[in-house]
Amino acid sequence: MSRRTPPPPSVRRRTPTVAPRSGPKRRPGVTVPSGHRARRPAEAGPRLRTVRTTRPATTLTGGDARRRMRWVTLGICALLLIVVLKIVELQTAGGASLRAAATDQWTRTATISADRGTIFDRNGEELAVSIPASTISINPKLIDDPSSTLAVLTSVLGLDAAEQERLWGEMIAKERGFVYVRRQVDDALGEQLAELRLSGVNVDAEPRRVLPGGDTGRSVIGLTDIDGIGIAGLEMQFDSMLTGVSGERQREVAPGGRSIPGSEVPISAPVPGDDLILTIDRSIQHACESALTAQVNQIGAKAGQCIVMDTDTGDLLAMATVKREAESGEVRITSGNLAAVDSYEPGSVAKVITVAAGLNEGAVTEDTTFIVPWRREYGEDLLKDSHEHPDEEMSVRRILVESSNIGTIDIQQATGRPIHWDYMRLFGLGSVSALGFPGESAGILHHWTELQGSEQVTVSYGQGVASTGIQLVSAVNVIANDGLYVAPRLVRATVDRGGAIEPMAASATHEVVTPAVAETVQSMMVDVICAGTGSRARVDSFNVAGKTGTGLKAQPNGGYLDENGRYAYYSSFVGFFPAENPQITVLISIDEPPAGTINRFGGTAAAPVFSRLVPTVAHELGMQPPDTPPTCEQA
Amino acid sequence: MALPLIDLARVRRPQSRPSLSLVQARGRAARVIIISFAAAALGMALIAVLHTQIAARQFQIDQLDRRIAAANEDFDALRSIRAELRSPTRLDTEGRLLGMEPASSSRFLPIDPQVLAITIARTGMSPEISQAPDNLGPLDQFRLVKRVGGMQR
Repeated sequence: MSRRTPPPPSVRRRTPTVAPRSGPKRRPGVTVPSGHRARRPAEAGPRLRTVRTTRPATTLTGGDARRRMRWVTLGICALLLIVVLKIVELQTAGGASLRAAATDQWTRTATISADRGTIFDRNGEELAVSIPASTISINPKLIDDPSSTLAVLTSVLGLDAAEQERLWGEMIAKERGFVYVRRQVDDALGEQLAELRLSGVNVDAEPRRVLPGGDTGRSVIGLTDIDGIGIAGLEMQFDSMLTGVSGERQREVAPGGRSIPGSEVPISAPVPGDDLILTIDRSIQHACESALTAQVNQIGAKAGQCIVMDTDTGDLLAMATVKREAESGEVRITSGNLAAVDSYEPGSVAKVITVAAGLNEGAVTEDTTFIVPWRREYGEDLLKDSHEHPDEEMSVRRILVESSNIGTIDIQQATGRPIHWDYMRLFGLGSVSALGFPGESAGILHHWTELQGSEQVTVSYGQGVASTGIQLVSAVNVIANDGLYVAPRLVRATVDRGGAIEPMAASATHEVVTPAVAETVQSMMVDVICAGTGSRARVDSFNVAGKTGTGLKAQPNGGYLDENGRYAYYSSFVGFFPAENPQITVLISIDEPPAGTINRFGGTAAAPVFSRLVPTVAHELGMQPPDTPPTCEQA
Repeated sequence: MALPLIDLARVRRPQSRPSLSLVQARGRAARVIIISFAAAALGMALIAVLHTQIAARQFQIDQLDRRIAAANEDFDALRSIRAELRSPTRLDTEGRLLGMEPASSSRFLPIDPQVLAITIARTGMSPEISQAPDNLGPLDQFRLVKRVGGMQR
């Protein structure tokens, strides 16, 4: 076996082009350098001569081919390595920007509204919830067949002529890429439309806020707008807490902007809002609203308010306002919370403050007497009691029970006007309550030095001072709560995103009068029911206490007489029960009961509502009547 | 027949035999390259399988998320309906349709304990029943769903 010897290094290195001497003529430009002569082995065949070329030629030996193959392999490997490295780069760090760019091209991101928190009553019953609903919109640029699309939309959604005309104009114009058809329609309608897969018609989920109990509690709960933003009431006050944090959802779109079904993926999950647990009791709230509506309807009044407060805690179990609509004359639950935002002159209910202040300061006792005429001049005004009577000696107790204006002025003057003003402040008049309700009124309580004319004394019996319903019930609650003012409260707790209940801070309190004084005034207020102006507030099963008030309504002209020369009234009753151990304080106010009739007074317009409500409230709260039936023997 | 002895030391090796030299094993680089490519291909295949598995799992997760969202929507809709059915407004309306009216006056009367016991037994108002886990109130049910992270869309 022979072995091929490798060629001499010089030959391999120079790689000359060889040609036989007898070969064809040299090509032009190809020269044979004189100094390059190959050594010719003796055993070689025909003589070859080395020719000189203009550049070094490539060796065409078998060993060179293998080497070329190696280079080619290396080249391919290098290319593949580059490809692999690029893949690695795209799969790891370098691909993010490209992926983002690509994603931008074929995807669209939409906001997912977070679930708005639910509002519960104190027993965990839903007062306001968000339910699934669908919003229908169109992209006129993508609608192929406007007439049939409009026909389908009209058929499913029941569009009226004006809506059809509006949509037809948009579909024909094709100028806008997004037009609402209907928002927050029933989810079943949305699903029905989505299944039709109409070109250019979008169906998106958009929850709708509802009050499952109808209008019950609407005055307190308030409203949200179509975008789910609180615009009134607690919905507005706690909007940021209820709203939560929106999430995002991505969907793929085909060229032209059409969504690809099933391509939706959530990017970030929405965080639901916190929920509110109110102090409101839905049943008591409904009872209040029903009783108010019935009374306002029955006596032909303009509006009414009802507040039920837990005496110890200040929790509001009900806060209802109803109003007669100007156009239809129908009495409806208001969307605004008039008991917090509307102030009025409370009338004789404020005498409780004057009497308690005089007793607490020691200026009078319950047996202190005054000679009280039925009318007396103060400055340029002649002030009168509600009915004519001879000058008579009246005790403080009798002054309150019979609601004498002149006698109350005497008590105020015995106490001192500055001190009386201080007590009105301590009872909560003249400042916004702790509720912090949107639009809440502070009422009107001018500093005692700023009061002019007869107003200096009329404030003692609730004229020349204005308070909201919530201020008034909180003030009288001081007496029921043994002299301790407790701030009203509407929200008992919140439910966080983990479902845990976070109780709200307890209401702030401060002492206004001593317990002994409060007890004395309580007994006077029992007498108001038994022997005074509040007899119609009496309840069969419970001892109750209270005070009536019939305030004159200030007119836009600044006086109390309207353009027809008539008075308008705001009649109130504030009471509590059981009188021997007060647990519940209730305010009833009737706005503009018919003037000139017996129903214009607090004792006739408002007190009967209290009487009707007490059994219901007691039943709902599981209160047991006392073993001994109530009597008025003491009075 | 005996074989002749040969003196191996004196046997002359042919002059033409080439001298041995240490050469690098041919094909080793190729094997390395092939193995590397095989490993890379296998790795990429595994990555592809992994991606497929991830995509499949993600698809399942998405499906579950959609089912959870749908269930939550149903939950919201149903509790709204329940709240409506339990609302005093509806009870009031239904009562009036049946000819009932609010009482003009109310009195609290003592109840015979036997009547009370019979009423409780027949209406299921027993405290033991009302505290059963499957008889949670609306708020507790809602909190339970919220606690397990279900309130997501």
